[in-house]
Amino acid sequence: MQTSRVIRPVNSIIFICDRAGGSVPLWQKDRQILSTDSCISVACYPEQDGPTKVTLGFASEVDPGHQADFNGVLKAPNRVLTVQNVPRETLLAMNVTKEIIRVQVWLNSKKWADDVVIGVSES
Amino acid sequence: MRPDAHRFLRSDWRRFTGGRQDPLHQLFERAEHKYRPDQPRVPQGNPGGGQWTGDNSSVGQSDPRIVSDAPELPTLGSQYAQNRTRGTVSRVLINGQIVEATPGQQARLAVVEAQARDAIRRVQELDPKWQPTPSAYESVEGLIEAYRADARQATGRISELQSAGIGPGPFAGDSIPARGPDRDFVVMERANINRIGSETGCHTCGTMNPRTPLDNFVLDHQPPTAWNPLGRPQRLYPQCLSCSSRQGNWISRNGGRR
Repeated sequence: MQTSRVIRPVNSIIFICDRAGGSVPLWQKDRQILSTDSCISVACYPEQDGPTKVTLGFASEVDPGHQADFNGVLKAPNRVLTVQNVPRETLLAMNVTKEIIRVQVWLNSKKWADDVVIGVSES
Repeated sequence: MRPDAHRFLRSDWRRFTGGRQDPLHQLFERAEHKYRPDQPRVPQGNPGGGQWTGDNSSVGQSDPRIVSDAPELPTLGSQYAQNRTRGTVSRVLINGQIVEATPGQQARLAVVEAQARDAIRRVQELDPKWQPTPSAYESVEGLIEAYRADARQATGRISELQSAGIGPGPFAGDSIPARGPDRDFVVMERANINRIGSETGCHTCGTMNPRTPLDNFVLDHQPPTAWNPLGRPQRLYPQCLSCSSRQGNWISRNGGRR
């Protein structure tokens, strides 16, 4: 099951992490995606210029058919994967069955992505 | 005239004045004799009758206007004994011990303490839980240096916060009041922030380039909504996308709060 939301996140960034949060990666200039083993940050379309559509679901359902811009594993000790904003509000969430999951992120632009797709694999 | 003015006279000063009628001669003579003609004497019939007496500015007492700012050694030891004779000595409590401070040390203590307190207050307006790392000290000079270290730490913390976009940055110019923490900006607010941005740039890094696809500056709440622990009124400043992203990352890394 996939869920989507159109948002204008504050600071134009979102975080993919367990519902309890994670270790936010160090900021690096001009990097769209940054990660640690418990948190992935994704730069969205600049909030004052327009919205960003964010989709969360199993990779088999949401894979747009091109190579992922991020592919790695993530710790989810509470087995609830969330998309959060800077004030730590949960924007999207999905239950997973394992504490370590594979996450893929697809962006529709190398610079100004306004469509972010997050796919989860548990195998 | 300071009471120890005679110390500054050369022994042959008379060679350089114009005789007894010369006001300079009279001045130097008074200094050399260590008294003033109008200085009171002890009345006859009293012990020491006829002797010059003090009037709060006589020789041997310090002039309260004179405050030394010369570096002094720690308060214990032979140097301290010399300091005591120079003026009023005040006591400060250091590690449970009463230590005496000279007027010069008192003056410097007051200055550095005020500087440290002000710097820490400015940090705590943005980061209420922040405290400088305590310094160890055993003397008045050590206490002065500890205050200086506190002020340095606070200044460093303010710079760190500013570079992370917390608080109006070093390039902040004009700003407009925020209607609230929400981001439901109206056209006029966007236009004003773009105008300010075109004049003074990003308030955090100073760039004139917003680095956004439509060349709009980010409308940045200050204090940031996710980092406004005291609930202070917010204002809007122009910020570039890069600094906005960095700000959001920093707030998240530091456990952003409302």
